[in-house]
Amino acid sequence: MEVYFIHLGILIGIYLILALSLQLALGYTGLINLGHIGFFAIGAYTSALLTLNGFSFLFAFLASGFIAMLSAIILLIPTNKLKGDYLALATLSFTFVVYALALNWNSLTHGPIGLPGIPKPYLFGIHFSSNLSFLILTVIITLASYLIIKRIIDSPFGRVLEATRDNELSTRILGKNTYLIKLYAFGLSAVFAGFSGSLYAHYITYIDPSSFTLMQLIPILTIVIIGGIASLRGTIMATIILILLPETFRFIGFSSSIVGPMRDIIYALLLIIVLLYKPKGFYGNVELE
Amino acid sequence: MLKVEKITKSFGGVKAVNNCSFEVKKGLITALIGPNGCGKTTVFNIISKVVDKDSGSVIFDGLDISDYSIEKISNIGMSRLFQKSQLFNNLSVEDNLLLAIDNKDTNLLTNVLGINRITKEKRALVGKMLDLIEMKHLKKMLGKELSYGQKRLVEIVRVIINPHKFLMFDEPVAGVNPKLREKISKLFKNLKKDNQTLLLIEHDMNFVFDIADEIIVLDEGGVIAQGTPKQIRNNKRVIDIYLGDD
Repeated sequence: MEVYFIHLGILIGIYLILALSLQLALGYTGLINLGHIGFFAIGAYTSALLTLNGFSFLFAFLASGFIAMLSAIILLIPTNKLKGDYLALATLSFTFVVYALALNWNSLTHGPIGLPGIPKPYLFGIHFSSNLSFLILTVIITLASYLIIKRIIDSPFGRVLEATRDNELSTRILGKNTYLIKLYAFGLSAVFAGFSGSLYAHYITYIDPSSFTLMQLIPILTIVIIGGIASLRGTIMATIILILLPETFRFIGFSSSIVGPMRDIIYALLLIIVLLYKPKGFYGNVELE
Repeated sequence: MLKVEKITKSFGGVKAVNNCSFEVKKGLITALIGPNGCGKTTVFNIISKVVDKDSGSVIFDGLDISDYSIEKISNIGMSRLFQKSQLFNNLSVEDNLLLAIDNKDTNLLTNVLGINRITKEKRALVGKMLDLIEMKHLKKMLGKELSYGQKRLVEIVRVIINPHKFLMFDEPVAGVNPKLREKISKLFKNLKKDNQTLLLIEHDMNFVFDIADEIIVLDEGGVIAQGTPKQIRNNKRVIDIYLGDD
């Protein structure tokens, strides 16, 4: 039972970094980014490939954030002028491109076979091989990610992000370069998604393209919307609740083969209900357009 | 201070601005007037680069700013109010104003490291400006929670505290009640005393004739008259096209 709760704790941490970083781009800057799972995948593959080729976990972890950020910058340069639904579509296609690359670039990713045997992290002389030690590492990284994102949000730069989300023209007329602002927000958001992907790869120790499909985006998007747009507190609450909620089915006798699909149904239902009756989410102040 | 030279802009087959030229002198309040659809807002949009012109040039302080971006035009000292509300609705009144005075808030590193902060001086300046419009008690209210008139006042103040050499106001008193209109008029007269340069679009002729030093009249995208309020009031063509006999 203890192992099971530790596992859930690790999942909450990984999902929390992913959701908080999506909140930075979507909630605070207004960039409807459906490519977040793509950055998560890039982080996971970067970290897995580097450690499998002898690089240290620290180097691989930092590289996962860096490569994810580079991909975000490359994605934003041609899509900079797109807004709303159009940006959503462009970033959604990015998820498919990353998935297709993971599936077909056999020489690098091993295609559908995936990458097995990803080592557990070895950092500052500590081998995080047990689940408990991995949980501690996840908590530290999650906390650091939260504090950095909160620091950004609470600084005058965070106010510029929100201004860009509310009214880009008005932000520009005050002399702010919104292109750079969006680039920073999108890039930073991808850095944390990359970190989260790295943690995921080293926790599960095996990744394949099926871990990074559009379906993986639904829980993250549900967390951000239910918690509330531009609310870090809401994101934390929603992550914990949405990870734990489907697990209750295990305790009332459902088998694992049922719990998986039930989880997707619950997320979809919750998303529809919240969008209909509480469009700002539980802690959000900003309504989705 | 500002020279608009032979600017032209068409939308499809409609010529919104047609070979329009005028000059705005430093330290004066200049009003741009004319019937609806005569191209006043398009001229404003061309000057502040919200819209690209087809031809002509815009010279500001001796610099050809025709190819500058919106933000660069703001950063060389042009501050502008739009006809429609452009307040940041999910930010507080105070944050709306802080955004205008903080020109270092776009640097991620200096902000995250705490080198650029919201200082007491910045808050004091915002408080002083809000005092001027008797809205200090509303500083924590969100933009979306304000009435139309309150929004307008905050936006006007935001334009004024944005570091500038030149102020542009597109219909500052449209739709506001007489009391607020008086308040805005007083604010503009104080700016005039400070030798500031203003260019404004307005349909309220009492307001215009009360505060303007110079008036430019547009019709069908071109300038048909320019002069002092007295000269414009007696211009037969302007009376026929826009002012009427009353």
